[in-house]
Amino acid sequence: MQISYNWLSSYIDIPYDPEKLKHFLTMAGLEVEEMSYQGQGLEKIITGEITEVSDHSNADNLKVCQVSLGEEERQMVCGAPNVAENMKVAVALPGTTLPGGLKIEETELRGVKSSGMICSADELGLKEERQPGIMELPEEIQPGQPLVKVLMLDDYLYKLDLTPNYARCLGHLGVAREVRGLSDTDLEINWPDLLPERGRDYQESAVEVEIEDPDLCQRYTCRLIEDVEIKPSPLWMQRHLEAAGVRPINNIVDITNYVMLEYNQPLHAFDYDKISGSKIIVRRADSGEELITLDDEIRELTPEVLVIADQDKPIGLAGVMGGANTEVTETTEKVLLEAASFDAVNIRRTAKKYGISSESSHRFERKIDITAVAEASRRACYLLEKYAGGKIAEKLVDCYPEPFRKREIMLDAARANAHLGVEITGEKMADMLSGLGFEAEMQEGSRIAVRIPGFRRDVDGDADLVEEIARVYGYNNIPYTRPASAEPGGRTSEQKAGLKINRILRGQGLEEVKNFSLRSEEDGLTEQLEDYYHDHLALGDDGDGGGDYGGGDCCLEDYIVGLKNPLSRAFSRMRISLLPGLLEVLSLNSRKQIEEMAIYESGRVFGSRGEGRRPVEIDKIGLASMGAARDPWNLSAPDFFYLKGAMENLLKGLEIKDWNWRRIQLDIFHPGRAAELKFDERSVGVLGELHPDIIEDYKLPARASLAEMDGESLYRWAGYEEISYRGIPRYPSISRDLALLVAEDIPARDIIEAVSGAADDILADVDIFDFYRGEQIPEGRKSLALNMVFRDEERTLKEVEVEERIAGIIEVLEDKFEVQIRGK
Amino acid sequence: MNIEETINEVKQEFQEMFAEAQDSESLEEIRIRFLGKNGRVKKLYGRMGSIPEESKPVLGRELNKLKQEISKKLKDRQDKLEEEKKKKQLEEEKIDVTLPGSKIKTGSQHPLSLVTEELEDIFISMGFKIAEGPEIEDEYYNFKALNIPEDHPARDLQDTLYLDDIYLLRTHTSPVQVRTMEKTQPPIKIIAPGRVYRADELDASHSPVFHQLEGLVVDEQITFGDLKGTISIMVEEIFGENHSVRFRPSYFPFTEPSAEVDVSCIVCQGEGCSLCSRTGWLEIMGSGMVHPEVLRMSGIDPKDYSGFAFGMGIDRITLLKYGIDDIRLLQENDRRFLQQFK
Repeated sequence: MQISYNWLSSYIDIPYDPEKLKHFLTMAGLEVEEMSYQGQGLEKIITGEITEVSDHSNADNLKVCQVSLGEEERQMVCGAPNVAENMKVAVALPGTTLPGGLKIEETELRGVKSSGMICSADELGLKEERQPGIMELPEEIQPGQPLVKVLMLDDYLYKLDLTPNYARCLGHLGVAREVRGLSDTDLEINWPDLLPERGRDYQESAVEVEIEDPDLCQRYTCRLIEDVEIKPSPLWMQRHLEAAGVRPINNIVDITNYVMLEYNQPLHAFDYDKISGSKIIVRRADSGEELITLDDEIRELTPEVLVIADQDKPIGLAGVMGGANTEVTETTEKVLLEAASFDAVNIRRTAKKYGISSESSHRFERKIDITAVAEASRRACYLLEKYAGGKIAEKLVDCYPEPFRKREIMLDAARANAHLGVEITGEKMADMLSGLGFEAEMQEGSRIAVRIPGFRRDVDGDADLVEEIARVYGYNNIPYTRPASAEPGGRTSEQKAGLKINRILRGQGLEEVKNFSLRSEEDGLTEQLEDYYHDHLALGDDGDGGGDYGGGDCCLEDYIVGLKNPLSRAFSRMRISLLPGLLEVLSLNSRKQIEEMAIYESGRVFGSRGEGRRPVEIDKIGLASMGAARDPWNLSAPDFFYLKGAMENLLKGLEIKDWNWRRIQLDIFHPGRAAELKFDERSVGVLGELHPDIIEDYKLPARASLAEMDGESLYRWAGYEEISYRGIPRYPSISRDLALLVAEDIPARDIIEAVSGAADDILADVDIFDFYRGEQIPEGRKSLALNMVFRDEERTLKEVEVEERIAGIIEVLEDKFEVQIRGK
Repeated sequence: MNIEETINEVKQEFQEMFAEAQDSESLEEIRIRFLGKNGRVKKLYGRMGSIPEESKPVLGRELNKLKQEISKKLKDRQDKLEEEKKKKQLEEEKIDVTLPGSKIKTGSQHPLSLVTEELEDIFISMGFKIAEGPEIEDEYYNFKALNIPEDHPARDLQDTLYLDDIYLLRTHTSPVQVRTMEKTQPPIKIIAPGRVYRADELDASHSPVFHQLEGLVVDEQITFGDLKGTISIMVEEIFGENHSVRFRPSYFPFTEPSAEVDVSCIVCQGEGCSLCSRTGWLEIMGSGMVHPEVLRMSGIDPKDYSGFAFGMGIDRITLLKYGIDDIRLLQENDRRFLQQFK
């Protein structure tokens, strides 16, 4: 909705200048999205009168004009074919810039001085298409006037972003009521002139109205206007319509639009001669019926749709759009003017069904003032008589089966004050409400009986009235207070763990990323997760603590949650894993010559559990790395081991005790470089170097690696207890290294487990600190260097005890893995 | 040659040799020559037996003096040489201290989670707890329980992405209000940050996936003034003290009265610029007193309790706070962008 300052001024003496009105409206809840000046760019153009036209001595197609500008006269050279003496024209003086950007300057045209330019309508931006000549202004105007005044363009426009509860302000009178109710000044509204109801001898109308579905049409009025003459509407009306963003068409259409923009009452004019018979039926359409609407679209009708029909056929989509078959045209003589009230929900559905959003449907959807239907009709009739030569001989036909009854709402002033945190007397509140058009009456105690007028159908209960009190009082006048807190705020253990996870990962040098949870139908990656989904993608559980796995009876395609109404293919389904997004982030950065990057994401993924069941939402932590520098074991796997280290530090940080890694194979990973993370027997994550084919496809540096962990499992297994401090060991420890040769395929983890098992009473720690293959190492074997730390909490260990344990350890290793101790 | 002469000779010889000795090796050589087992001084002691008794004390002193003198001189010079050597070594170990430090990887926090955590901390300090809810919702929680009936124009305010006939992607974090009220009796004081979805095309200022932070307070005698006080503290904490806040009437089906919260423009401070569309104000959140119908539907009697709620776009606040001009940067994850948020 766009309103005009001048138009609004015709109903109320606005106590604000244009800029202040903008602020006032916004603070009243009628947010001004944009304010503009209608004569933008024409402020400096003035009117002139051509007093003399003579030929240009050096150019056949140019004329030299003397132009009177009231107080002075100037010479201007003009090339327009229609230039003539005594013509009233628009003049741009030197120093003026035209809306198109042309700067007018004092100049000479072929040797003749020209101090100004006589403008055409397109040069002034008043017409889009190129005009053949200069713009001719009405004869009666005086020279030397600002053009914006003469053309009635001296107006400010306000584009309002109205929320649904401000539907009453979809007409200027509604805005005028707000100004009256909310401004500090005592103001009255000048109501528009209406067709007199009495004092004329109206006949009973020949037109008959039948409402077949009174639940969908609560009131239908119409009136016959004869002998209309179709012509342009007066300039002021055209300007007002333009100011409101409505294109003028002809006097009949313009008047219906004009009254709609005054009263917020949509009106429709039928060409009466095109109606069969004299009966208007408001009914549901029959299946199979069709109607060509005013936009020339054929609409196939169904019984959910309410139509206006004559005895033979539908002639309009009720409240949405008229029919082409009864359209007012140049030759129309008799107009049947409809003013009605239709059911908001039905109109909304019809408009949606046909994809029409008309000025009319927009208003009916938001409920109009059913009590003002006849008044709006009379207003239009007044204008039709005055500006279309219409003859009105018949009474209004008003079919209004159940007249509106004002609701009464009891407002408790004490409660309103308690709600807002203010102290306003009941009398003052009643005053405030009356100013807005409510009928408010003080009752016993602090109660106010409030009757709700027809134009306030947004008001359902006392809470709405409290808002009105707050609006009039001024939101910004309500004092600032703060609610008391009985309990301290804080995070739950899980929320704290979530923060800790982020902190630990950042501490390892990983950068946090955020990817959309909506993905493309053809991302090229999700499909490659079929085996991941079947074997490792843990589904969330319903809270029984168990959790089950993906796979089983359903295939990946069925597991993916798709959107029913995606905006585009790019965002058409929910992610099932963080891996594809992380891979894309690496790829994007790699393409930008960023060679080294380590990232993580903490987010939700989704999975279907079958039709009609709520899809699962699972928290995941994903990690990815490319271009890591340190390759700890010289295995060309820096990214793999970087991520593994980060994950292990995360597990330690969360005080998770029993985890282990197992070799796995997945399509997206290098077949020999992928592992699964397990808590006991539960799979809680995967880690792997990307398959070389994917690395190539996505232009990634070699060895880039990805990992994903199940967030819920981390939360569940994390030790939430406070850090439990243990004293620093009081007795010295003894450290020993052991270098061994062992068959290549024996996992390091097995060696460590065997060592731990062989000396667990005093072995405090065992770790692998070196790994080597190659020169000096026999084919098929590898060299591992172990460091073992022995300690007893109670006493100082003797060398001989340690030597004994080491002998035992060696025996076990030789026995189990046929290791060969180096340097022995 | 008598012994006195020999002593003087030894002394003389030592002095000559000592004067030449400039390194540890020569010093050691001298030490052996004079003080060693068969050294000259030792030999002189050996000759002590053959001199007259009366001369012995004098010569003995003389000899001791010589021995001490030689030792001391040798030691002093040895110490000096050591000192010089150490000094030289330290000098050689000089490094260019202006070379860059080790490349230790530093992680970063995504600006959205940075701002979310900051907001959470502000509200926690005011006694709020953090609630969570699903991103996949149904009609009831996303609309109906929030007083947004079907076929109401309010539904146009949000373009919803549906999964099927029952489930949809939540269009706001407000369903968490309902879920919280259903399972908790007042007093309630929660915030609920989370991801929300709308059918918006992705451009510089719109995104189909974004984040909101919802707040809800329900207790006896909660007022609109409490809402204003709580929000103004949050704005002050996030944007700094020199920003003003204003509340203006608006409409949300689940609050009444409803208010839009504006903060004075962070770029122009109210003068009017392109960021604030020349209004001087930036819209940052919706808020209001919880609609009595919403309380009732969630099992809380509006006669006994009142409350306020608010909801803000975390993405928007992030963009404003850091002066980022394109929302797409928040999901592009360009390292050069991410690295700025530590």
